[in-house]
Amino acid sequence: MSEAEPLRGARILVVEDEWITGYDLIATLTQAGAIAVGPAATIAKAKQLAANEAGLAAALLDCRLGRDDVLPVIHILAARQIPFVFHTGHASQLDLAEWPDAAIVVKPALPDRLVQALYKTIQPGRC
Amino acid sequence: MEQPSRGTAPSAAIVNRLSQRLADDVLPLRALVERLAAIVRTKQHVYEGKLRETGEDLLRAVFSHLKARTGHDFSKYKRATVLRRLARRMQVKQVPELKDYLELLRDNPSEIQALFGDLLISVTTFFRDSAAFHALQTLVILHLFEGKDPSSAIRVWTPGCATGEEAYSIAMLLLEEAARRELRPLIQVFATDIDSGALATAREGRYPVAIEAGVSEERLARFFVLEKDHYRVKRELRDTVLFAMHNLTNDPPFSRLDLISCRNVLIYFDRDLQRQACGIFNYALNPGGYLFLGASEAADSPRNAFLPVDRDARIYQSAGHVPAASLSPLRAFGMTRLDASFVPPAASRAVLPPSDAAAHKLALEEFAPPSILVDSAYRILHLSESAGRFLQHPGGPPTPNVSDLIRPELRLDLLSSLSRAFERHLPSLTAPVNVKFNGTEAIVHLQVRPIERENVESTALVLFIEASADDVRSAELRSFSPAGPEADNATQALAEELQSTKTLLFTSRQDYDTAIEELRAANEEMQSVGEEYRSTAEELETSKEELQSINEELQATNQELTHKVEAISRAHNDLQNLISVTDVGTLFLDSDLCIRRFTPRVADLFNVTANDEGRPISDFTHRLRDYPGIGHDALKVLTDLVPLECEVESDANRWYLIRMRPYRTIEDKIEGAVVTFVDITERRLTESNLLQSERRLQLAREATSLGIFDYDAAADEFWFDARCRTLWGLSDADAINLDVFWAGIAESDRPKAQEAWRHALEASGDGVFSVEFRLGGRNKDQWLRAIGKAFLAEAPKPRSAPRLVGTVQDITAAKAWEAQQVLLLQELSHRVKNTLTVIISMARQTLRGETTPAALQKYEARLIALSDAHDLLMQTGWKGAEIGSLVHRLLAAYAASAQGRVIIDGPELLLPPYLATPFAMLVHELATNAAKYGALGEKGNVSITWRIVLQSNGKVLEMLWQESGGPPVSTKRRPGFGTFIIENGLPDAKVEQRFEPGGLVCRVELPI
Repeated sequence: MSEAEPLRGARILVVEDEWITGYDLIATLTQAGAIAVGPAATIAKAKQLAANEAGLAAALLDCRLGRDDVLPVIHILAARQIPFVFHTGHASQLDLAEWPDAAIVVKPALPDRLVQALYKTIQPGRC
Repeated sequence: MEQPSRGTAPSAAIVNRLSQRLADDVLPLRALVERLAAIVRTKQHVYEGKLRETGEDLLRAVFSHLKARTGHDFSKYKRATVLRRLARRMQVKQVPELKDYLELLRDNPSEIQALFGDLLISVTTFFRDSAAFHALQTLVILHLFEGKDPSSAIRVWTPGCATGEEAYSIAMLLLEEAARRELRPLIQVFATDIDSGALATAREGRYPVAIEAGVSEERLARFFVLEKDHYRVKRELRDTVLFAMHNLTNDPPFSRLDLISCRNVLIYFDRDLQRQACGIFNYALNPGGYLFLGASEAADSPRNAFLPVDRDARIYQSAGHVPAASLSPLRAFGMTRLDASFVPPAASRAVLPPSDAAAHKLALEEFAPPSILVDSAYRILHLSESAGRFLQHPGGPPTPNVSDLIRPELRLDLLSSLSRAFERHLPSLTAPVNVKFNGTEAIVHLQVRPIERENVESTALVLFIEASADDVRSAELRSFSPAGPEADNATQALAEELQSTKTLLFTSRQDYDTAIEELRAANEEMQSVGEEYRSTAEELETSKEELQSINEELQATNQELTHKVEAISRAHNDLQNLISVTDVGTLFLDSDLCIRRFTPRVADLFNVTANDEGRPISDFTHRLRDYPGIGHDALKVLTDLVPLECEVESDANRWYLIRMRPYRTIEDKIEGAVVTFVDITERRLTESNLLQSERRLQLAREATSLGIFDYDAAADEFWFDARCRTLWGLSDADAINLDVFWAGIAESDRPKAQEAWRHALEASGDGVFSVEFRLGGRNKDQWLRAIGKAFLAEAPKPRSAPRLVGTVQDITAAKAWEAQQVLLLQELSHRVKNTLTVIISMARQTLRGETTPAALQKYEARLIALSDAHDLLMQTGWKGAEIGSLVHRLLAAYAASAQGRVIIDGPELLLPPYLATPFAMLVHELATNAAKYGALGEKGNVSITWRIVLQSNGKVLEMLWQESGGPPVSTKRRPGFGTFIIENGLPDAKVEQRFEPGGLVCRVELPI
């Protein structure tokens, strides 16, 4: 992997309702070479982007947007076979074990961890 | 007699009487006294008087009824006695009219028996009339043994033996005499009566100790055995006597008897029956046999059947068998009742061939003079066929006496001739006597000849020789011719003398006859007077017997009454003690509500003393508060016969339970009222304390909304209070046990509840039961906390199994709070995490690798703005932040330096959290910029205004940040994070910054 830009060229959907965090995530991903889509701050926006955005390599999901779980978004992504990573503050009712393949990154997390998780998700098997 | 009450053993006297069926009535004591009083009041002689006037028909009906039912005929009993006894029965039964009594007899077999028993009243004792018995012993008993060898028997009969004392007495005398002699003939005493009950007693041979009065000590020792409270006849004596049912007047008698003892039986018979009985006795006795009668009895009829031996002792000796013709006609006897050794009467004579004897007899009759055979008692033993002419039976009962029967004309001559014959044993021939037969006259001579034979009683033969007509005439001529031609003076004189002597004789005879007649009349009168006296004596005797028997009954009754009085005394004592021990105030009132009796405790409440018995209760004041109506209530109880209860307080502040009941006697009669006063002060106090305690508990339970359960492992009993019942969905009637308890708990929580239960019941544990669970059923999802403890002892004893008592409390609300708390914590955690993330992000973006003080300050300021937003959000519980307050807060830092230069205006609006934070950041950036470069610096004004407008897609917040009068706008601001915050921070908002000539203007359009 390219150390400077490990996520080069990957289109990654960012679902996050806290705008500063979303800004930060976009910055982190952009700095890692990815093309960040979003942040989608509402379920509606997230669903819309998840369904329609082409060429998504992965998604970074905040488990809870406002008062709502991102379950509907997950379903859409799963249907499109777009892998995703959970970025969670433990507030969600979701049983994340239902998606054992999805990595879980706990807030607050260092940018490196996020990038690494996404990297692993996009290119599994590759170290 | 008195009915023995239950529980008391009847005395021997009663048992005796009952068994002898002598009691007329068996009644309880009170009724007995009343009955006796009634009887005494109605005088017996009233009944008797009425009876005597009663018609014969009714009496005959009574007798025939008696005969039909008992087999015994009382019509020949002495009428006065019978009437007396009948009257007594009627008096006892309170039936004044005989026809009604007859009805009673017809309908009640028991009354027949009672009447029968009364008619048979006989009182008998051992050696009754000891002087008479002494005479019997000395004059009679010895002779009975004479001429008896061991193979022969001494036979004695005692008719009317009743309970046997007389028969046993005579047997005792005989046995004593037999003991004195070497040769002992067999002794047989036949004792008979018509009273089967008396016979049964006689057979038993049991007599009360009282016989000691009439029986000597030696005799008691020799003939009796003393058993506890009575004497019993020994075998030797008992075997001598044979008891049998026998009716003297009806059944064939015994015979060949040596002694008949029949005492106080004849007094009950009328004259005819007496004569009949004596005739029977005469028949039954051997010649020379003895008859022993009772006082005031006599054996003078039939005449000459008995000769007195000792008149005072009433001992007679049979004068030999009286010929059948001179007795009243005897009844024909049924052959079955005959004595086995019955001897046919009169030895049979040798009989000649009929023809010769008859012919001879006829010839004699025709030609021999008529004759009669007379005995020394002047009784005609036999007459020849034609002798009847010379006899003329006078009016009156038939008589065998020749002097009565002979024609009056012949009497004088006959009597003198007979006298001559018997006394001087000389024959005689009388001078002719004129006898007037019906129409004809005849001259009759009497020739009288004595007949003496060995071993036969002397008799005399009287021949009636009739003279012919010639003889008559010549006799007449001879007798009535004083002068004849051949007669000389001497003869003449003699004839005259003879004539005058004859005349004198004739007149003397006349006088004599007259005198005889007068004497006879006098004799008859004397006899009738004697009869009357005898009747009277007999009646007195029977009365005496009745009185004796009544006396004995009264004695028994008296004894009973004495016992009863003793029993009552004892009962009374018991009652007194009982009352004083129970310490209950009891007041007995009679039917008029007067005080009969009261216990000492009553004096606590009423002003009564012992002297006040008899006074009405209403006379007295009482110390009961608010209770005026005791008299009224008692009256109500008496009339309605319903018990009454009430609780009343006394002036001494004690409470009493007053109970009033009617007073019932044993016969269930109402005779007043009983009032009891029971002190219930303690009880009431306890009750009120208990009520209070329960109320307290109740209130506490309600206040705390606890339910209580109680499980007794020893009895396996489970108890729920009302609240628990409700919680478990049970009605008041449903049974509760351990299974029901578990069933009410939600299935998922059951295991832990049961585990906690097990733990509590462990003997070695602390016994604490503590668990929280949900209910199932109707109250599903209701949470309960159960807390309890197992008690292994209930002071002072240990229990065989524990008792688990505890409470349940509804903690559903608490649980909900808990759940909410968890949620909130989660929420909080999320937020904190988020906030931290934001802070980190913000730090990263703000500082971008710089850590200069200016950069840090900038970072700090942004954090504070964020914190301000958070504060306002917290105030509303994270519902939202009010926009006006937020703006004010954010600009507060500049208020001091830019005083009066800031205008904030707009409607109240609550911004939701996801908008409030970025909005706060936005305003903060604007303000910071304005402070650094714009109108919030040295000079200038800022106006922050907003409004809500309604657009096609909803409400929109329009905000305007207008700076003016500030320093000239510099375009040297580098777009950075701050710009991003302003322009991109607010989600879905349209934000436009323009640098106007007056100052910066920022327009925000935010859909809300």
